[in-house]
Amino acid sequence: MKNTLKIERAIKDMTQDALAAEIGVSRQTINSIEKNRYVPSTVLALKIAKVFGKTVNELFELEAED
Amino acid sequence: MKNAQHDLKRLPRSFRKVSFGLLLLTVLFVVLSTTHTLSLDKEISKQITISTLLLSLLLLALTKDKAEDERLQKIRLKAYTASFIYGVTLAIINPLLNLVFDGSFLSDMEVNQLLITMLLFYFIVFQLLKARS
Repeated sequence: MKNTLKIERAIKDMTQDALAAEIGVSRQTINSIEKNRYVPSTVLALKIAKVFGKTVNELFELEAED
Repeated sequence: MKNAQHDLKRLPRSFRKVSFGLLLLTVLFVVLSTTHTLSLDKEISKQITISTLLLSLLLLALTKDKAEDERLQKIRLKAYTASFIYGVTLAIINPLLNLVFDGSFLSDMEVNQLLITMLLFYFIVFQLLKARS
């Protein structure tokens, strides 16, 4: 599953640390999500989407192998 | 949103100090026992050492990480699974290893030894997965 988290974060000029603090996870978790090494839970995906004012579908997209 | 899947309950971070303190006491006890400063029966000393070691490792395994979140919980579950599979595999192959090296098919592995190696294996896998993810 790919995501546009890094782009959205750049648009909002937000650091990984700031985003992590806002949704209550570690900076490493945000980094893992951005690098597609970790797929967040629905709750976490909804929290991230809320921060950027987008829907989960706009941030996360399924790939052919998913 | 009320979380339907309850998170793994973990001990507060302060238990890390308790665990390391207990580990230190265990080492001190072993030193005192081996230098015969403490005049305790060998079997009793061994049992005390194993029990305190197991308790300290268990506390450490159950204590929260500095940044405990869902990713770490997932890693923990993977490490627990790997440790369980390792324990069962070790219990199965231990008699075979004994047969090859000692000529006896009977396993002389104690439950305590198995649990200690399982806990150590858990820590190794957890740290490796944490570093890689």
